[in-house]
Amino acid sequence: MRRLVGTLAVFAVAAGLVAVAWFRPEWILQPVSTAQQSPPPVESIRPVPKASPGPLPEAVAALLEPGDLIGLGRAIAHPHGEQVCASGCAASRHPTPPLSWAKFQRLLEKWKQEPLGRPTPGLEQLLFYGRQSLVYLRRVAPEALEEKRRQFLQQQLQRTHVVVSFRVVDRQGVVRVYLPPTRVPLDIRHEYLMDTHDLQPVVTSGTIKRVGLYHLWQRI
Amino acid sequence: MAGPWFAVLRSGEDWQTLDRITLSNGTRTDPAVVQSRVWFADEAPQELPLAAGECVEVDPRWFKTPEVARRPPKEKNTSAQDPVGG
Repeated sequence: MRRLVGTLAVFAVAAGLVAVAWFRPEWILQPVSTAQQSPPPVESIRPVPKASPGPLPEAVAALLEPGDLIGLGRAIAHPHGEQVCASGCAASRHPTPPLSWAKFQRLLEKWKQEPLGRPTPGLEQLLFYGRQSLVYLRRVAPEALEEKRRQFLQQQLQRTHVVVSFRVVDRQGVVRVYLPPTRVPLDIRHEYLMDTHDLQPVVTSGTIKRVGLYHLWQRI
Repeated sequence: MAGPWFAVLRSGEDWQTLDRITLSNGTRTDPAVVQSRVWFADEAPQELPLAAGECVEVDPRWFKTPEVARRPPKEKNTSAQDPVGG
């Protein structure tokens, strides 16, 4: 008797499956869409940005703009290093080392001896530390730094974003690969979506860091 | 494509050539140059960008091999006893 009930149950399930497959084949078989037959649109092959990395020093993180750790337009933030970047980028293959208050004070004293508005070693080291220097500058007592100097340094340190453009030009002068001018934050690695002509799709990545009053270091 | 390329650029400078490379799309192979520009965001011009496929004026120096990169021609080794050349 028990065997008979078991056999009937198996038949019932099988009959149900056959019925579903007959009347509702889409429940079982995935329809083949035309999207699978043609190349996916560019939007769908953009790399997925990683989740926001670990905790940042609050004051430095507060200086980031919305989108800095996500990316906008053609630039997608994609930090993927193992070291924490003290300059606000969370993780990067080219992290900025942490700046201590003592070192900041030493650099500030050095710069105070240098001419204002020139690309001097003291100033350029302060600029290299970017957002960290800006956080510390806000803690400097008013009497410790001439107002004109403070304003100059603050203005320079607030330049936290750059516009970058790349191209690959062949011998005939045809632009075969191109990234139109694209705004990105300093210190954060980005992946760039490039236009191509008569060439397979190209994705590049890179980081830009400030290394002077006028100069920027770039890795592509 | 190749890379990575590392460069120090001055904000607002004209296109800087980072490298000379060879491009291939499977049917055609062309020499090409990789170039970059960068500006501080508050200095960036509001100019109309190019588009891939447009033509730009080529400076012949872009494709000239730098003097420092040239290797001296190898001397032919005619010695049968010392094939390594010393």
